[in-house]
Amino acid sequence: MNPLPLAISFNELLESLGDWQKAGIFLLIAIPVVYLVARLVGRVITRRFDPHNGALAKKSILFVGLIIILLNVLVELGFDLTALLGAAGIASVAIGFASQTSLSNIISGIFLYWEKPFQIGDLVRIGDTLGIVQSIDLMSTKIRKLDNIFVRIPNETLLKTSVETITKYPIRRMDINVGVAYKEDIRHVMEVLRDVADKNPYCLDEPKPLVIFKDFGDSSLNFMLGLWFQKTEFLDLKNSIMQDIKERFDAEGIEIPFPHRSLYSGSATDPFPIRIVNEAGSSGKASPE
Amino acid sequence: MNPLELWKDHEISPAATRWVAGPVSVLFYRSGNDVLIADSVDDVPPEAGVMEDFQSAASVKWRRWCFESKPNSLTIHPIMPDRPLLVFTSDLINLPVDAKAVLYVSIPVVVKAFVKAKYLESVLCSVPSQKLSNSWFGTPMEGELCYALKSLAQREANEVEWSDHTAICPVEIYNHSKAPFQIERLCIRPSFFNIYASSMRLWTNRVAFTYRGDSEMSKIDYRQDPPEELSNPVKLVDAAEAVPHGIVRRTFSNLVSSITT
Repeated sequence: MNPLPLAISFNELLESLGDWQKAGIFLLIAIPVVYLVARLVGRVITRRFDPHNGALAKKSILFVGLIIILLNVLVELGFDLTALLGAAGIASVAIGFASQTSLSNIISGIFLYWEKPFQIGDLVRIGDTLGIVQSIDLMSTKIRKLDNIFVRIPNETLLKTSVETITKYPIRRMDINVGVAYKEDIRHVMEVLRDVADKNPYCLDEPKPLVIFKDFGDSSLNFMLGLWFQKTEFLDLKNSIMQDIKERFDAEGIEIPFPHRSLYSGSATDPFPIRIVNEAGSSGKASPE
Repeated sequence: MNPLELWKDHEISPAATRWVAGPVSVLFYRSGNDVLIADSVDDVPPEAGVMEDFQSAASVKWRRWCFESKPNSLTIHPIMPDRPLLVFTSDLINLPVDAKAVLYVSIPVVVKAFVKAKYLESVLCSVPSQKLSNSWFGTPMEGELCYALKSLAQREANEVEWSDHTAICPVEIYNHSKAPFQIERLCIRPSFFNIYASSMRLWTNRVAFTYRGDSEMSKIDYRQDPPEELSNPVKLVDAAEAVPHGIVRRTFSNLVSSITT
């Protein structure tokens, strides 16, 4: 019995297919394979290194694979690649002029991958946008704002603007400005602020909290309280420390002043005239004495 | 109180029992196959024993655990805090070259109540006996999140604050550098400590630090045998982590080098 009829019949089948049909079958097989390989490699690299490198590897394999598939399909369809590449050279000049922004974004994306100013999951502030990095792609970086709004920022913009990576380091400092009335004892206020920081569970003991007497304000003595905290506990600290300061100031009788304005009626010494209104509604003028 | 009387298996009965160690109270009772448990930390805890009118006590927030079969006993054990601990010394301690000193640190334990099972235990509650504040050991760019101990490391075991809910940890420090060594605070990692009970107190195994100079990491040796200060020690709890071989870490920190920016 001949062991090859199936193979022969398969080859015959392939030969019987037209170029378009062959290209179609090739696409059907090759695209899922490239996609699976990219996904697998991305997952392995994410597990071994970080999501940033995983995403980069996945996209690189996908892009290169798709280009190879495209070239193969073109060859299969009978295109002359040499002529095509020549034409592509000329076309690329024209396309280059037309797609300067896209190319600039891609090159900026490569720089961003290289420089790593932030990673997926970091909280960043870019211009007025504050949010969590969702993905860093070749053309753009996707951010989810804290109010759950999606923002796409072109990589070129990122490279040109200053970016604050708020969660880069494991601990942060929160600076709180506090004003007290001029009558208060400065040393006592500083001791109270230190004690409030010591007693707050979200405030780190080390590095020590900073208490600085900043300046003489228009209506208040101004202090700054600098508190170190673990980066994930921002809201807990913010809410609790504000409450602690208010409660403790109230307990210690320390006044948080409102802005004061002194009004003079044309002269620093002349008093304002006072008008006394009685219950019956009749009024009369009285001197300040 | 004898630690072995406190940290043991307790019968779960239909009448609520209050267990107390230091400021921590654990309340528990059984209803069919279910166990109801509550805990609290009070400055002045109520007395231990069987509770009257426990179901009408509105302030108690019971948590219900449903079991397949009726659990007979609740085991209450001390465990170590889950982060490294930063502790200051009572005085500024100076160690000459090649000198050795032993310091004693009081560690507030975490109270763990669990039901033993064939393979896995069911932890019903885990209550820190003291709320420790967060601290940081390292630079603002990298380091370790720790708890700051409120008590100070003492030169004599008798000077250490102790009660039912604290364990004493002997820390041996050896200056193997070429200059005198000043100790202001140290960082200990309680996940490597076994807990032992003597007739009166809880203890941990001894940890020995060898300081080899500013630029070098300290060599750390977590001794696996009970501390030599105990005559008849009983091991209550195994360490949460096995000690890796050749453990070398930054352990000492002078306040001078602390980051203030």
